[in-house]
Amino acid sequence: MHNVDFDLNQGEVVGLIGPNGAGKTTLFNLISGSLPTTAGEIKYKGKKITGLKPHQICKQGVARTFQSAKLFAGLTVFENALAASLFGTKRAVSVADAEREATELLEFVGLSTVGAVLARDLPIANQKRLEVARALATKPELLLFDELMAGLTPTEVAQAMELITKIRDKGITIFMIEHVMKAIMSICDRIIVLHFGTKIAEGKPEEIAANKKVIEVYLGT
Amino acid sequence: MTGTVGRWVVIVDHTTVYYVILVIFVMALLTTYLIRRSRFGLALRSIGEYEESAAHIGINVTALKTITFAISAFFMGAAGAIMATRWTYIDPHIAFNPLFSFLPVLMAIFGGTGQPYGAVLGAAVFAYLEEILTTKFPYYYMLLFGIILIVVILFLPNGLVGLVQKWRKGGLNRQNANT
Repeated sequence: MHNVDFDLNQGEVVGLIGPNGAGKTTLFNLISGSLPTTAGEIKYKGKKITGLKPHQICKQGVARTFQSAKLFAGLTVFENALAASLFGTKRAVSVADAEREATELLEFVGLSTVGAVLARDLPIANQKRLEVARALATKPELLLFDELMAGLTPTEVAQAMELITKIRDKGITIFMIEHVMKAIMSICDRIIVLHFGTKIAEGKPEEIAANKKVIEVYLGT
Repeated sequence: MTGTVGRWVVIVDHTTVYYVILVIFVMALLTTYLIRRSRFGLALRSIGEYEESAAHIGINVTALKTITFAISAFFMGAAGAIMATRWTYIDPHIAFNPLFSFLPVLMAIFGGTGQPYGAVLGAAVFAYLEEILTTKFPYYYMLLFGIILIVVILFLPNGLVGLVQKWRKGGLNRQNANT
């Protein structure tokens, strides 16, 4: 990645698009600390977070989901959320508070009836919901969604969009990688386009849709 | 002391060794039980399930692994200290013999990891097997032992516990079929 420079404002929903191999997930890995940066700086609320470990970045208030759900497959749905609410926050949480938080979040994403089910036994759409619940349990202010809607049916995509809107209404900033164009165009306040590790465009959805360069490398194909 | 790497150890009678080991054993089981029920246990299970995700929900994976390693080393060390009195002489070659380091891990895999009683079951069957084989087949003991281990690891990935669970499940299914 080189010369990718952008800002995210509080409460915004920003989309990140680009062809396969453009470096979208790499960018997420850099922000969330799974990959070390070789140059450049990532600032969060004015504080430098480059060089921090993933668990530290999480406690700063940046949570993420994974392209392919990376759940704790052998734990129950409830335990997945519980672990995140117990360890994800900067301040120590009591078990009782964490349990309440986990219960509320499972309800929020619509998984309250399957709390005792093992995560591995969930269908894809619900695995994605659990990923969202687990990320939310760490009380983030910035949420990174890596292709939340990949592999979902049109109905499930609509539900996911609704969920994202609900999360935005909580005041959480959302930065999302997505290939489902309809979704990204309707939800996002702003879109950033990556191509071969560089930013080639940034702007409102309608500006991006009309951008010649973007159409050439991405939308046109 | 000069010129030697080892040490002669005061001999302790068998009864004392037995009770000390028993206490260590009970302490180890108790610790396992407490860890399993604690938030520390949940963190460890999360790491076991998916390390990358565990780190991203705020778990300090490196620190927890180090602590866990230290806790397990405590019990190994305690057991080693009392066993040394039975060998009367120890030196680094004996103390750091890879066989002794791998044996407990093998016992746990043999019994089945993931369940506390797996390690206990594994160790008991393992030790019993070892005694039988050394006395009955002193020449082929290592060979037979190796074959048994390979078979268990290949065909029982969940160890003896996995076998027990399979039987139980099978029993339940049969009951359901009858009703």
